[in-house]
Amino acid sequence: MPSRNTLAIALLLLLGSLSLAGKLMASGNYGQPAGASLASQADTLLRGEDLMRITTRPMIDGEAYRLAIYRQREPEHCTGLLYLMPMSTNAEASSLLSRASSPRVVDHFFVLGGELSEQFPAWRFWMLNTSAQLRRVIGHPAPAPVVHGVATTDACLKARRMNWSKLRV
Amino acid sequence: MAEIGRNGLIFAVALLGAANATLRPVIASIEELGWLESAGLAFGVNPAVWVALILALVGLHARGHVPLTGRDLALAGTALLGLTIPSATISWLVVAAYALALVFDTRLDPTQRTAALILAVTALRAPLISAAMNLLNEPLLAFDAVLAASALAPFMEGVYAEGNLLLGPDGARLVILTSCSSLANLSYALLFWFAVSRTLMPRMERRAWLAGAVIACALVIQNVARLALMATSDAGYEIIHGPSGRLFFELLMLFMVTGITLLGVRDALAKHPRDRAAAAARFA
Repeated sequence: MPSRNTLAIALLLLLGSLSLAGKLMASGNYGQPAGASLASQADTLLRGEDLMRITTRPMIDGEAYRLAIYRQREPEHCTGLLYLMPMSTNAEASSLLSRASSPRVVDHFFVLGGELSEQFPAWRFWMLNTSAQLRRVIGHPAPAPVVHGVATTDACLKARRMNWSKLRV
Repeated sequence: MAEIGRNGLIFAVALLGAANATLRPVIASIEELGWLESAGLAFGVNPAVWVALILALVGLHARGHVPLTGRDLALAGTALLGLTIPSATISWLVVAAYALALVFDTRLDPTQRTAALILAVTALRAPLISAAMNLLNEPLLAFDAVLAASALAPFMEGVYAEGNLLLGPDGARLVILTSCSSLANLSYALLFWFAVSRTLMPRMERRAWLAGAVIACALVIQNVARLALMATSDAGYEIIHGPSGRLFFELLMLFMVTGITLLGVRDALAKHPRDRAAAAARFA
């Protein structure tokens, strides 16, 4: 039977090098954001609601928070704008949503996994994010969750009645 | 075959744990900036974390051969197995759990247990601050915004805070993001203070605790002043948020935290020659 000393050295050599090698190999495969596919999902959803994207603009310096601006395809009856802002870090940009424009925003809410909430869903976002990280660790990659902030400048857009359940992540 | 002993095993596991937890940001920093620039920025890891890790490892590196027990092997094996999970956050948690087990291990000498406590605090900082910044983001950033608005109020009319926004009569003046929060900076400053003070002092004196409190207050004041200056005008924002402004405030923080920490330690050590001798003996 090997001595405790031999066992300790074997453990250090084997598991130590395995752990470092694992980190080295995984260093390029962390945190794939679901941003691109979700942006496309959201765009498709809003197109289905007869809206068209007219422009995008950054909300702060840099590209971290970009607002996509939509209006109705045929705006005779409703000239309001809808703002959509994906947030994949935390709630830090949520307060920007209510001040997205002039004319003032009349309604705003957040969408995560198809569910609507009045406040940024911090707990649920953190749980989903942690679970996505753990799933990546065990080899079942899951896209990182994204909260969509939605704001409108006119109630006629009826944004809350749109089919947000299609935004599953 | 060389005898590794309990002290050697503890040091090796702690070293591997620290390497596993920091490897990913180090590689990312080198890939993004290159070796030279990355080295200038402490390889993407806050210098306070490096200092705390080095002090913890130095403290754990005890001399003398102590035979290994089955418990030592089981503990180290479990920790090493945990480190094989390819996640930096999980590595920090594994290091924290291993270090906490050492803190409560009465067979270790006081210096090793102190070093283990420093290692546990260092390892717990990253996941705890990350969770706090996710779950309590809005109130934490709003706290900074309220303080910055209060600091500006005597000089500018109509400035107020709403959430993490600083607003004026002409609209939004500043958005306070996570990286600018006082808590994130405070966690590094207090980690440095705790690691240095606890390493140099066998027991924390009132002066050292006072130094920690002064650091916390001074750091929040400095951060609020920086935020308030950024909100004064576009030019103010450009200067303070730009590379030179950032460097100025980082150096200011470094000197302030180092100075106050050493002041707290020096005063306490000067009061007790025995403590000074004990501290010196640790590095002999």
